[in-house]
Amino acid sequence: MSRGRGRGRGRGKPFAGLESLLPGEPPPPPILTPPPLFPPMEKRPLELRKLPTDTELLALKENLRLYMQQSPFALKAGPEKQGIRRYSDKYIQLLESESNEFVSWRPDWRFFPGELRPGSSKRRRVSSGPKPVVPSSRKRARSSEGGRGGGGGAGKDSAPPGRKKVTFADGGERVDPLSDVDESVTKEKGEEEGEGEEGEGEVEEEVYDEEVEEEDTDYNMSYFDNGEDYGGNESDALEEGPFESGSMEVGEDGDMMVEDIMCEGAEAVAVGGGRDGLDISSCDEEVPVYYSPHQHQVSVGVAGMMVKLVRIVRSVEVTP
Amino acid sequence: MSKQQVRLASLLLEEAFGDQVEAVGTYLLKNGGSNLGEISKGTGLQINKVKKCLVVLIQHQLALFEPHSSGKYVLYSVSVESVQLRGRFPRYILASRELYGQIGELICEYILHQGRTLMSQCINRVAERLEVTLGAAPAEVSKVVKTKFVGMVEGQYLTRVKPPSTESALGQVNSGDSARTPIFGKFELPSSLTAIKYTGNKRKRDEEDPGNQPSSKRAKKNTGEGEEKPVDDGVFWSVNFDNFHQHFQDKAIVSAVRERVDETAACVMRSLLRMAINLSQDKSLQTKSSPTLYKGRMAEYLPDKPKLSEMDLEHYLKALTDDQAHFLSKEDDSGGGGYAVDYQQCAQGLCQATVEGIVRERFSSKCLRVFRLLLVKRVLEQKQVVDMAMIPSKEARELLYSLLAENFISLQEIPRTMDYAPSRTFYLFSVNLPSVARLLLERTYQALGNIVSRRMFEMKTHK
Repeated sequence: MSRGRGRGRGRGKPFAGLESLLPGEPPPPPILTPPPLFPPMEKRPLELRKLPTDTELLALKENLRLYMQQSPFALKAGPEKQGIRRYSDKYIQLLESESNEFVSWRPDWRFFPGELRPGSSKRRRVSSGPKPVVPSSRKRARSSEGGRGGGGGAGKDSAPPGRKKVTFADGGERVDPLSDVDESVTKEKGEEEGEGEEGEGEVEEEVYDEEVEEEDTDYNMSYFDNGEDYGGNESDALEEGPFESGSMEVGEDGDMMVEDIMCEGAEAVAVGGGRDGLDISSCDEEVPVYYSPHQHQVSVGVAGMMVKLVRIVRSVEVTP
Repeated sequence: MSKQQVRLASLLLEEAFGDQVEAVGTYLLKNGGSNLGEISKGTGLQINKVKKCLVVLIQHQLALFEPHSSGKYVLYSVSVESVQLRGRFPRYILASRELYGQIGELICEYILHQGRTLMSQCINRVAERLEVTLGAAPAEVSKVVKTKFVGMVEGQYLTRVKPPSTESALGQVNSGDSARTPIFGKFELPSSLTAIKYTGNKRKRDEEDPGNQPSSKRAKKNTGEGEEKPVDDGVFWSVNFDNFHQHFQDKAIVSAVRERVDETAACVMRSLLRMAINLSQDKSLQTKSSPTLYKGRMAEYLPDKPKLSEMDLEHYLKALTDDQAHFLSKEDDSGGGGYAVDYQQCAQGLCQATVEGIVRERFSSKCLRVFRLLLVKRVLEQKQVVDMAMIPSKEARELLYSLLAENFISLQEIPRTMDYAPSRTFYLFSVNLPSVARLLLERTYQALGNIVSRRMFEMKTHK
């Protein structure tokens, strides 16, 4: 083999071009274009075999293909949301699920890793502390999240990762602060265990392709601000206000005022992935563009509970 | 995992599951084990979507997950072979029809649709369909379906899905026995088997005996009352592809024997193969040859119709052993003669026959003569080819070079002198069958990918 290396590697034809060459003639000019995409074939292939088994196989294949396309396994991009939540959304979804018996296929979570469950990343850091602690805890939250990178999917860490996803994408579900805080505490205790764990009743109730999780109230509880964060924290250069830029997941729909507040960097982070310290700075540059003082007042309501919400909302990490 | 394989795999995924799952699957194919974050970043999909895609992939046994060695996150990976097998699903369904009848076909089809399923669920759905077509009473139908299902498990065409190994408890598993034991029985039926009963259509649901646990998991009836856990909760079954592959291999061997020798020899071969399957402990496809089959014990496996006498059987065995394709090999003289089916030789013979067919069709039969000559004689010079094949020199040269251009044969140069003067070096042609086979396999993947892609294009344009 090595002997032939300079000579065509077994694939080259040492005499190839010489067949038609006559001695004394100059060699033909080199071909500079790539070979044709569909070179003409001297021989046609055989006819397609059409035994009865083949027709049956074909029929089976077609059936299979059609079935798979209509099954719940063929994930389709969600329907385009109009931007506003409609009353009929709930019923359209119900109708669809009734007509198609496959829509509500439920996986048996014992056979899947825990992190794939829809509610599994709705964990929150139950951090305590009155408002003065707010700026530093925010920083702490951010930097510690950053440091952790892609960890904790299996939930085996002793410190529960403070990650929470506020999915505004799906049909405008709101975070119900009261229910979630309760849930999260129990969840955190539950989530300490290994992957195959299925424990929490709350999580079990979630239908796999649920759109509406918590109760929808017409009153947006997360928008009340008692002005505590406005004007008092100029010393903190990294301060970004109640809604942290990178904290929301950008959904398919563009609704909600919350997302208006976000800076563009957030979108990249939401789609992109791991947060580390670098992302924060990129967000910071754009913050001034979008922030306006009045939005500091658009914040959360009742004092203690809402401060928690603020912290929770801020501490979202998009990627586990 | 070549480029063409990956391409084919992505096309198959897209065809079956849509483009989101395809994106995730392709990313995992190209980048090996990754965790959620990496996948999301690499595909550009949101985490939620990635999670759903992964669930779908795992459900259909296309993706595997395992915790990273650091224990911090979970790594997901997709294997190309498992995706490619999706192309063979119709063949599996057809084979189940041959082996287990229409019911077996429906069972197999349902399990292939779902990826993996509970026994009760499968029986219910299949019985529903049969009820519609046959119009028989539900109890009978379910009994028949259950028998078939159990038959398929015993034939090892269906296998249990292994529960993931975790330190924590596996949750409540009603069936109790096999699921909890550390040695997980792949083909073990749960003890609660008898409790699985099909309770008829939903119309009749009210009339059922409340003593029986209704084991149907009807999505339609997903009312707020809460569904009862099925009797065999946690015991999932999926199709055992390897056994089907073994079946296909056996069929191929039998048909090869039928063509080379004759029909009776094919019957003999089939019974020998059945005997081999029954006797072998390790039923993997990797075994080189079957365990020794003694002639004295063959009588029970031989078919009744072509009644073979002792002498006839002896003749056939000898014919199969002495045949050039080496279907059987004589291992032993004790016990009336011990023979073993040489799977490797059979496979090689089949492969060779296929390649020869391809050469015949792609080039010409003269080329085929040259090719077969090279296969037999291993290494030949151009002059020797001319002499042995009785083809004129110029034509032989062209044939050889056309074969060389398509990489069916290879050329080795052996210099006689220190300077590689062409007139004084030997040019030896030879055939390397494994590499030719690999090449042809690649081209097959490419062809398949082209076909799938073309069909999708046609469907799109002619919507």
